Amino acid sequence: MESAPILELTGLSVVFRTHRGILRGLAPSDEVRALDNVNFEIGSQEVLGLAGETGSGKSTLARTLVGLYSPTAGEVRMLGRTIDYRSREDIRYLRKNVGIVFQDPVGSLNPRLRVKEIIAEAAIASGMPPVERKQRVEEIVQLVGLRESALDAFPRELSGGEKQRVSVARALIVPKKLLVLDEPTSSLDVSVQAQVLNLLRDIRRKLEISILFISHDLRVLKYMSDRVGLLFYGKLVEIADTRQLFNEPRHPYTVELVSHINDSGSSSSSSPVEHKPSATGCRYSQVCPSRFSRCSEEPPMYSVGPGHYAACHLFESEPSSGKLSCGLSQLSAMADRENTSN
Amino acid sequence: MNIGDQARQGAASGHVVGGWDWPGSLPQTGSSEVILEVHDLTIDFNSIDGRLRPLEGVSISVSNGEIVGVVGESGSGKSTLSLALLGLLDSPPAVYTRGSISFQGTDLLKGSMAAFSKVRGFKLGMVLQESIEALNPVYTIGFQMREALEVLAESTGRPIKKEEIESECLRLLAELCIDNPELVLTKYPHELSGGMRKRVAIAMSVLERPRLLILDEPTTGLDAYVQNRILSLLKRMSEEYGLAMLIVTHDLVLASRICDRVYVMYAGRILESGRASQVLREPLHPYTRVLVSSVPEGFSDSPDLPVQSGEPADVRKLPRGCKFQERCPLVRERCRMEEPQLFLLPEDRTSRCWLMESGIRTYP
Repeated sequence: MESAPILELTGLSVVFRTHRGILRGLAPSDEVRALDNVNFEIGSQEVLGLAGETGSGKSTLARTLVGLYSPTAGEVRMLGRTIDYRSREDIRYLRKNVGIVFQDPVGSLNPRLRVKEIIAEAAIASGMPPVERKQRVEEIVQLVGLRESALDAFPRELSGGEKQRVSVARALIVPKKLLVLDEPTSSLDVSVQAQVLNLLRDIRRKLEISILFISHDLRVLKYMSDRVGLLFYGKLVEIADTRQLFNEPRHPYTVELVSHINDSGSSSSSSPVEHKPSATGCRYSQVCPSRFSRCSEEPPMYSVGPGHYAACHLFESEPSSGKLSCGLSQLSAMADRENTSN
Repeated sequence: MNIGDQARQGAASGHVVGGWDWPGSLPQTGSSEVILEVHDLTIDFNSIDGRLRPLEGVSISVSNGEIVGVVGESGSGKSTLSLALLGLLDSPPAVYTRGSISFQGTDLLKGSMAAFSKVRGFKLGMVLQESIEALNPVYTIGFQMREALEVLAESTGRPIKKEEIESECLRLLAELCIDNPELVLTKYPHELSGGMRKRVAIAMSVLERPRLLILDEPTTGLDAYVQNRILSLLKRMSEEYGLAMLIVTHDLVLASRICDRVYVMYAGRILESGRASQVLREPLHPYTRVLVSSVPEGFSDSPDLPVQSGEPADVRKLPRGCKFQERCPLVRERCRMEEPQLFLLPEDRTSRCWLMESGIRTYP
């Protein structure tokens, strides 16, 4: 694993202001903290999974990474370059390196363009010469496994799985460093989802690309990712190596979620409690089974193992590494150790 | 103690507040009387593409207090089935070509469609796929729930007091684990979250004490955590009231979690049926095997999922012979010529596959 991360997020916050009433400009605004002080990095050729419920800020993060939303605070560093969201140059740089596949394949493909035009559009924008472009379209269509006849079709003539393949092809027509997949399979049938997951794994093996895989389906994330992070109402609550996270979840929220996918038989163990974030302190404290007095303060990320971080006061006493780099360096150190011991 | 507290307490202890009890319910759990029996149901659509057959010879049964799942991918005819059972298919284009739907002993297809309206909503409840469409956007939740109870009281001739209506609404919402039910009653549908709306829709559908509840994709569009909550609520309601449920879903794992038995549908036909846990553990039809093996298992270094290419069947262009042949890894010459029947197998299982012609066989 290379040492330089592709993407680093430091203290990333995205706050939306909402106004009420007809004098909206004058009234004090409400704030929605869609993302609150999120830190992580994605290494070269790494697949980072990101889980969370509806409203946890997953899609906000994806959209921020392609410059559709601007951070309110914090820093996004792409390949070592800090992105200034006010500069068109920087946004262009960001989009040159990050491709995105949206959740809804219907809404994200232009219904008036043929598939080959949709795929080629980004290549045209990047100034690729026509001859090279044609060849590139052929290559990419082969890669994503689209049938030849689909190229002249309109999006509505394609099935859900094919539409998602077109989205992937469009995102990758210009070679990218990072592919952001925002719930790429949640609208698909199970057997088609399996095909698309296989395709994404195949792409990962063939192209030297990092992937940020966003999904609410923990089974899918476990199957796809090297590391997994968990968002709860805008806060990153735990991040770790996939095996580590599923075998030894630490944060009480993670423990609850992981228990859902492990019990396949009875549904009785799942609590029918609504998850409501607390306004102050730890956001999970309102429903947390191991809540105690400290939870009224917001917990920082504690290191609970090599490359394993959890935002919960329970782990305050664990030996902390101090700096919150979320793991890459530790992970590679771990891999080195394993290599030498073999 | 105000009504809300009472309601919550009532819900917690499982007692009925207000003396408004479920007609002929509770002690019946365990009785295996068949409540819904569908036999050889075949539906045709007369469309501009010609005559389509979204359902062909579907036979299912649901017993009292049983949770039955109908599992299939898009285009399998599962939603058509649920609408057909409720008599809600538009006609034209839909035609009930063959078969019978017998609900509590009466054949709903004999005579006029009026037979449906006698049971629909009262004894045969439904939760539609889109909960936003099931609720009227211009009335508050409270208004809609009260209205439903008043209609019920009118039709059964049992007058119901205003306070009873109020406490009944609150009790049901509290039972579905909705915090602050008083507040929810004053809200409009668009002010609620998806999971909340779904639960309100469920509450509405059980207000009238149905004997059988048909749920079309009760958890689709909700995230995994809300899904879990809704499933455990449904299971609890079924156990508490001996309420039978028919759950239509595309998710086999989900179905196996709460259903007692499942039917697997493809191209308007039933391909396999049996006890849910068994079907999931050792599927007998190659299609069910595809469904089961499509569920990702293990970590990123585990092998790719063993799925064939191909899309779910399109009823407009079905092949001769077995409808699953194009995607079947075990397809043989015979499958292309003749369509297999639904073979009856030991342990109350069925499978529509030539491989099962002479009883259960293990796969190569």
